Amino acid sequence: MNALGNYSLYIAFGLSVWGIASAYLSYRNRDERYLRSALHAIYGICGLVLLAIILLWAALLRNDFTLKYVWEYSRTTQPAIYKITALWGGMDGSLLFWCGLLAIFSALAITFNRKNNMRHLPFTSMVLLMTLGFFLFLLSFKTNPFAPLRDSAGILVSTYTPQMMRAVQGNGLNPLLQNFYMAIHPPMLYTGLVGFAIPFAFILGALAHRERNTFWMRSARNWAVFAWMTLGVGILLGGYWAYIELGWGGYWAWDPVENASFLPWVMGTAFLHTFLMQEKRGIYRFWNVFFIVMAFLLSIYGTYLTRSGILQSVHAFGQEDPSIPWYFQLGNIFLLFMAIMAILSFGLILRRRALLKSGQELESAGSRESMFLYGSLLLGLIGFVVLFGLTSPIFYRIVTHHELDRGPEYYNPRILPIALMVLLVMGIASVSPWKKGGWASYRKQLAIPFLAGLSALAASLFAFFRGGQASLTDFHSRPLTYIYLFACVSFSFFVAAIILEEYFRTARQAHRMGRAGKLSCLLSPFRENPRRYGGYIVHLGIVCVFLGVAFSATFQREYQETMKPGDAVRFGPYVVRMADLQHDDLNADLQKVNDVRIWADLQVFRGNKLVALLRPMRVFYSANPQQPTYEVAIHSTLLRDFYTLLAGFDLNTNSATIGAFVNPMVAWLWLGGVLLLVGGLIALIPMRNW
Amino acid sequence: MAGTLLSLVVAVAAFGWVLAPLFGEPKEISQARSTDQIQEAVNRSVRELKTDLELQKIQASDLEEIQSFLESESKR
Amino acid sequence: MKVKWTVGLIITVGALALFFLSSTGNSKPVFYYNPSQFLANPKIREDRVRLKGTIQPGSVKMSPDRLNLWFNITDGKQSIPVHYSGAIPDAFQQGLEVVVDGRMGAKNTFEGRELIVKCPSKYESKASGPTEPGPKESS
Repeated sequence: MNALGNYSLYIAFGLSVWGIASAYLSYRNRDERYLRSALHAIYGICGLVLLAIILLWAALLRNDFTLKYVWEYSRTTQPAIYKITALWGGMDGSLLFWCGLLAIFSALAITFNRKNNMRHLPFTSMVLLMTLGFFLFLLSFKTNPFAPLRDSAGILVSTYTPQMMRAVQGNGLNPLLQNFYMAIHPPMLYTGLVGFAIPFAFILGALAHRERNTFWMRSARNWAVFAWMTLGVGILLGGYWAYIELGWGGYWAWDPVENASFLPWVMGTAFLHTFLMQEKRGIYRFWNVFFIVMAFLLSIYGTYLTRSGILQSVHAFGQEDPSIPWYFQLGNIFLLFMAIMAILSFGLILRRRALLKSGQELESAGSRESMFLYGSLLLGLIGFVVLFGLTSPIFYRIVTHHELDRGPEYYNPRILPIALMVLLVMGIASVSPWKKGGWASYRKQLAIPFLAGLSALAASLFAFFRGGQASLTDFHSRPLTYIYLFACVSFSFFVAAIILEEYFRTARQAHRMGRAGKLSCLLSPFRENPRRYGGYIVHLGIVCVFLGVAFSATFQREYQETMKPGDAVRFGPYVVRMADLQHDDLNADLQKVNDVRIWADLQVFRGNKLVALLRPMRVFYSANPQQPTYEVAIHSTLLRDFYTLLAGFDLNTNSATIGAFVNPMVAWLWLGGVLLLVGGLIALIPMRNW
Repeated sequence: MAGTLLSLVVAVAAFGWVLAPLFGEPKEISQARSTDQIQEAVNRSVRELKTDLELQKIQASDLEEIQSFLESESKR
Repeated sequence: MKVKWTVGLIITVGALALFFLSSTGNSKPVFYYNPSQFLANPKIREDRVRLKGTIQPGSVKMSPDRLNLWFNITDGKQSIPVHYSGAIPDAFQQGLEVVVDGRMGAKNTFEGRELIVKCPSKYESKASGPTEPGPKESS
């Protein structure tokens, strides 16, 4: 059966090579037979890759250790659910999973568009097949998940006798990955990253086929929203996982892998907004194509960065075996594919540049159209700053042989001011009038929100000065941080007020025009214009994220105290009493059980009230018997998170060192993520045109 | 062995199905536009702009201008 | 036309403002070095750097409360003793690749303020297969 899985990949690769040729021929000769052949190739690839995935899952579930991948990422004692998620636990499997998603999306996209947009399909399917072909090439010849396992003597494990096989237990999935969030984070992330390939292929296809009419683009836009939404939620899920799993109390470190997922998302965001303008006014055609091309290239680039070992990262992955020739090194194959797609995209943009001119002039610097341009360009700028920060160490190293570190100290000061301007434009654009600018049109609609922002600023200043000398000292040590904080709070309330005002105005208007009753008009905005109001919910989510980040980053406090059972110690606004320090049987054989735990039972008091019972733990997993992992215990409210971990323990003296963070308003980040999801779903409601 | 044989069968079937269309009658790829889809897209944009008119985000003359632009674009 | 220039001006002024705003508060860049590179360069002795290497097997000592860690970081050629105090990160294990952020302290011991262990086995095969044919396996 593993042979079938292996061969499926080769056959699929073969189909992709033929498919590219056939699609290209149909592009040149407009012969429908070649197009149908190429479309069949896509369907065939889809079936074969799904078959390979099912077979790999089967191998994982039945502990088939004759396969290297199964041995590395699974273990006989591993819970079944994590044998399933092991599919994307390692490089080969995750590339297979990625390819599977791409194949499914491609098959769906061409099926939905076969009737209405057949004339674009030759070039579009060629682009899809090129991308599929790239991944299938890797899977067949470089990172094959069906590669056989050899033991340390080089002997094939498939030749073992049954008695020898019974002794093989497997290596096991990294315990850090054995939790709910790491189970769903990669699929969500990959769905988003792969999703951008579809609108990319369609837009290039339309450009190649000289499409002058831009209304078909609906289908591309829906895929883009879908990809953008799942990627956004995936990124926040990743942050959430880092927060609850890794024990450092933070959720974002500008790690290259994090940046790799953030970059396509930010370009996708820009695309969604320039697209709106192209649809209504036919403008920004170039920016549209540019942003979707960047979103796709960066999603591939992100995959490259996280696989090639070229960057230092906590997640950085295998350095390539230096004995492999340069043209067959994984990183370089990625670069080659990216170069091909970049040349294809920008070459096409150049050749069809006449199509990208709209012939319409911007009539005012304060119009809605202009606001959308500022916003998208600012987002693009964020993308380029992050891209520069991400790649400059590579070039720096080539030139000076020194390896540069880029972390929060680099990114935060550069990204923050741009992000704040995006926040501001996001609000103003909502009330901007079409075509004309003019102070008069703004004055009326921005009056209340301006007051809201001013009040929020006043409230913040009041709270600040109430802190007395401590506040002033802190301010002097980091004045810019406080200025950004005050700006963030005022802008956030300004934008939130705009959104609410817009919503109520629209609802009232629907009622006034007789379209809805007094109460039912509250639903009218969503019914009449789900895209815009779904979008506004997303904007509210973004405001929540800004507030959560601003307060948790500025006012995070860290504590550490050593305690014995019965002790009560103050941790910032809380008093913690350690009721007990307990553990599982420490002599248990880790080969038999999956884990051995040590935990502290904490009673958390605020004032005199018991607000939480927390149990931070350390867990020894069989995969890492020397160093137990952290299970943090968090008491979360809208105002702050009280985040505890068992930093150290001494069972001889029965004492535990409790580490704690007080993270203000972190919950707002996750709340923002929920709003992102809800808003995105609402915006996708007109379920037609995929 | 069974796996390899099965793979061969799958390979033949896959390539067979993929190459089969080449043996049909030559046909031109339909260049038809989905006029329904396009008209619906235009209608929706106009509808959204009309609500913007109610909300005083656009002037009536501008709305007419944009509407005729969209109509003519959709015919291209 | 005129509007285009206004828009362009706004964008340019905005970009310049952002650039100047972000240039404030620049801290000195931090570099990565392996032990050999670090020891060979007396100029960076006092700097805050990030040492990268592997945890020398057999060199790990932990305080009973698990809050103080001593180990040697090595690149196969040279090694530097490291002291780190604080919560030891998950997945800490001998032989693994690690990054220590800090500066050289007393007694030629590198004082780490941040310890980062590379997530193995997500995309990297640290494991090399079972040892020898027979009923044994490596971890």
